Amino acid sequence: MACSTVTCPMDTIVKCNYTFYNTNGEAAALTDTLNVTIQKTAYLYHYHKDGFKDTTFAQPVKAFTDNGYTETVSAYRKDTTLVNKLVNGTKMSLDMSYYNKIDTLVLHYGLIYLPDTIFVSHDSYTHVETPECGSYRFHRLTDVRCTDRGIDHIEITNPTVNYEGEENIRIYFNSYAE
Amino acid sequence: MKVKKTSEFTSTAMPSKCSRLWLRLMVAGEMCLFCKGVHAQEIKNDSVMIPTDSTLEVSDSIADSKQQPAAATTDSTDNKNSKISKWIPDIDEEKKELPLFQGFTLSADVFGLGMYLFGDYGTIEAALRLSLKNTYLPIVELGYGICDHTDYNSKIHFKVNAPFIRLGIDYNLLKDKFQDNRMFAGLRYGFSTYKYDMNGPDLVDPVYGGSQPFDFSGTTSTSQWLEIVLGCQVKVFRNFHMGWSVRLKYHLNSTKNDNSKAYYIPGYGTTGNNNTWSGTYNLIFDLNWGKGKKKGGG
Repeated sequence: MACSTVTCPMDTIVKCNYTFYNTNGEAAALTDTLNVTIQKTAYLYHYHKDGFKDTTFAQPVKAFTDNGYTETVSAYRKDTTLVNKLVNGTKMSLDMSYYNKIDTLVLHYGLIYLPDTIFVSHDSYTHVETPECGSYRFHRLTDVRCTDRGIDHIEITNPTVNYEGEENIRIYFNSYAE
Repeated sequence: MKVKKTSEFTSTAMPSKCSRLWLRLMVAGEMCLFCKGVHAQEIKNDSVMIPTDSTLEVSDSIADSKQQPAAATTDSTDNKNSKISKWIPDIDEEKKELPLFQGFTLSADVFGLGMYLFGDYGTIEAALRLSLKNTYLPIVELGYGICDHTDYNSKIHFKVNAPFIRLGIDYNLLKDKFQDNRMFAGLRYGFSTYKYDMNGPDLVDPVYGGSQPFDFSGTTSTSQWLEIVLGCQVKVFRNFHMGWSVRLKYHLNSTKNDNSKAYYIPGYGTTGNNNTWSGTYNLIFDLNWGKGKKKGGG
């Protein structure tokens, strides 16, 4: 028989860590103001039955379909801001989607009119260190692409995204954004 | 005079008046050589007790000078008048003749069984131990580890049922290898191959939305570990002993899996850290199959 203590990780937030560099490959601060939003799709579930009032929910409700309602699903774009007005930033940590294959990040600059878009492809898997520490979604980066308005190029430095806090992606900004 | 030496007295025939002296050579009805008293009334059986090396020469000289019939052992056949009735054998010399093979012991751990009955996890295990000169004790421990645990906070459920084996050797730390009690220290190598199930509540993505069930069934893993053992056992009656051991276990390695790590390794215990403490309480039975006998019919 055995007894032991459980050591859960200190930082239990799984985020993808981006670090900023200039075109010379040197770590640099982005002097421009930066906002980052994600584009995601949300769904609405509409229920209709003749003689009854139509209802809409953000989640499917099985009780309506069981009682003769017809279910209609509509999708819409729902943007969420992950980084708000970052100034002189050298790095940022962003959430990744648990179940999407590609995350789409939109970078809005203060001085550059058009935004940049980063596409991060990844595989995700559930990880449980111990039952006491709970469950997490880790990610393995497979590809990263971007537009080039303020970004010179982008690269993956560590494909494993977990709660260790290591650098995962380097963003090389061009002189317009620096 | 040829006499054997004893390392200690037995007090059965020791006159109390001469207790301050190590050496006494007494024959019924004669004067004590040291206190000059007569202990005839105290000596139930005429005895010769010569305990130490340092005094042996003295006793030899005294015995020879007085021509005592104290040729206590082999040379005493020509002196049949001496009344030597009791001989204390030299135990140390006899112990040196302990045969190599000292039989097997079979033991069962009740602590692991109790933990299984009253907790989420436990073991059912038995061990077969060979005794070599009652000093080196190779051992094989076989068991079955069981765990059915659900964490109160995370609601994650873990389940495993699998066998394990430990191989090792103990060293009997007691100086007297002839006694039935043992205090030992030893090492174990543990190994287990097992399949476990782990499942929990759906994981909800707080930012992008969506959720999926979380269920890993039949995940296969193999683990190895080392144990440092310190324990003891005492004889209760006849061939039945009881004993306990304390173990410090070092996890060597386990098959890596992206999704999860086994919460419990059969035979090792919970895997919160790379090392863990554990213990056993054993019921032990001597199996005297072909056990070597002490030289001289002991």
